Amino acid sequence: MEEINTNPDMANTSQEPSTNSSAPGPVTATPGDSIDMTNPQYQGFWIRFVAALLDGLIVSLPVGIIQSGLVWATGIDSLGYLISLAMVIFIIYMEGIQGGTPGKLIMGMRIVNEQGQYIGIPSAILRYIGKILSALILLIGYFMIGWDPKKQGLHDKIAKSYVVKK
Amino acid sequence: MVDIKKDFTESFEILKNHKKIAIPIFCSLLLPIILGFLFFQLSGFSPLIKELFTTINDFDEQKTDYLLDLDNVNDNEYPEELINYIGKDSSSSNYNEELGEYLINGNYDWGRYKELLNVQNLIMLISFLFISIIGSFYFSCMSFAIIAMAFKNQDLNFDKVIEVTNNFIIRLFSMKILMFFIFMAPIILSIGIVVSLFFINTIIGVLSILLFFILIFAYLIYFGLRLFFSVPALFVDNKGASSSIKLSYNLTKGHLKQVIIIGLMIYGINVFMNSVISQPLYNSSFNLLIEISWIKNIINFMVISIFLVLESFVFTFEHIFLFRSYIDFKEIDNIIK
Repeated sequence: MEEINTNPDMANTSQEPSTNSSAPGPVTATPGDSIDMTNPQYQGFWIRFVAALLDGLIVSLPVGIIQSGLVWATGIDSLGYLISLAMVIFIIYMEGIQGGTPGKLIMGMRIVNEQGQYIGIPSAILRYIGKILSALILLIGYFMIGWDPKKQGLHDKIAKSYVVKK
Repeated sequence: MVDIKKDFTESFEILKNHKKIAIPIFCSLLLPIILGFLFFQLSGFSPLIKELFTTINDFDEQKTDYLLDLDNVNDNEYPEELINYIGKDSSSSNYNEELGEYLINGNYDWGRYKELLNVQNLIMLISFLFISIIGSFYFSCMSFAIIAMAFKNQDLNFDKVIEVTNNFIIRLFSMKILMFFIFMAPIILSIGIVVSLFFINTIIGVLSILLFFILIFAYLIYFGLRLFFSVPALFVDNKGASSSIKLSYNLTKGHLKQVIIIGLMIYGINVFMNSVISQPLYNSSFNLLIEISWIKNIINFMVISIFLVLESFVFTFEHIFLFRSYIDFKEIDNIIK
């Protein structure tokens, strides 16, 4: 039987962010962006809810208006889909590289991994998919933030991410 | 315990480093779309469908012009018109009836569709469906084969990929047939029992529907989980059809919780793909079919191209993640044993 490479082409990439903050992970933030995780202030349900409302106001509402306006003005539905896709990419980019969506950044929160680094694109995609699962189980995945000791929702647990105060 | 994040990140890296893995899925998605367009063009349905949708758009425009004109707001029928238009997808809305009347009044000729329902078009439809199913199946097999080759660090050149795919195609087909019988046999059997119980007593028949529904649901979920790794077992471990099913069954014994977690992740990827990519892809393809403006068609074509590439990557990623989870799962199982 042929040998299975359990880690193909991963020689120069770390799967788990190294404890050494200068070690390069897969599309993670620079070491300067890391948060001190010795005594982290995990952010609870309500403050994250406020951040989500802010996101709705800052991101979703304008995007929705632009989307509807563009589709109405041109009569091309496809352009609306492109805007939706752009929004998903924007959220993933913001969470993975900038440490949080605009709402979270305004509220002084950051999404980080165990080492306090921004989570990077692959983990941000995983977190986004985790959010779908959190919503699918009657939003229980989100409510978990309320009672979890480290204030992790299901999506945070899946992506091994934490939302902390900067 | 399977590390979802590790498997996910590694799958991402594999796809990033071997982008050509996505080509077979791209072909499997492209083929039905091309054949669908070809059928509508060659059969003569395309101009009729475009004409029908142009007429529907005209009807819609008249409705919206009426509803958006503020002078009409005080009309007695305005609220009803508004509700009917907003709820046009509902069965209780009069929208479809009014549209039907509009088409009849405009002398829309449905007879032209009947003329196109001829033997020649039927043969073309069946041939295209057949080519589409066979082609998509072959490309799916190629996708699994190329992923397994990437995991084994083999050279992914065209000839080798074709050779490996041909090597697996019959086994994959046999496995699909076996799986079909495993999942369908109890359903067919249950339907038979329920029908015979109905002949004996109606109440018993109704109760048996409920009972068999629950039993079949539980059966499908249980065996769906136990046979979850059949496909990766076939390709990664180079097994036969029945032995890969057996291997998956044995491997998942006592680890159903972990299989559920992996299954949920794959379900999540599917939901993500359907909502963000597949739906826009198929809607844009449909728009391309009915649209007469060439500017809109160019934009639709560009959007289809973007979403087609994206869907290929996400679909391929889903397969890679399944294979990576399987390898991880097997390693953990070996450690436990």
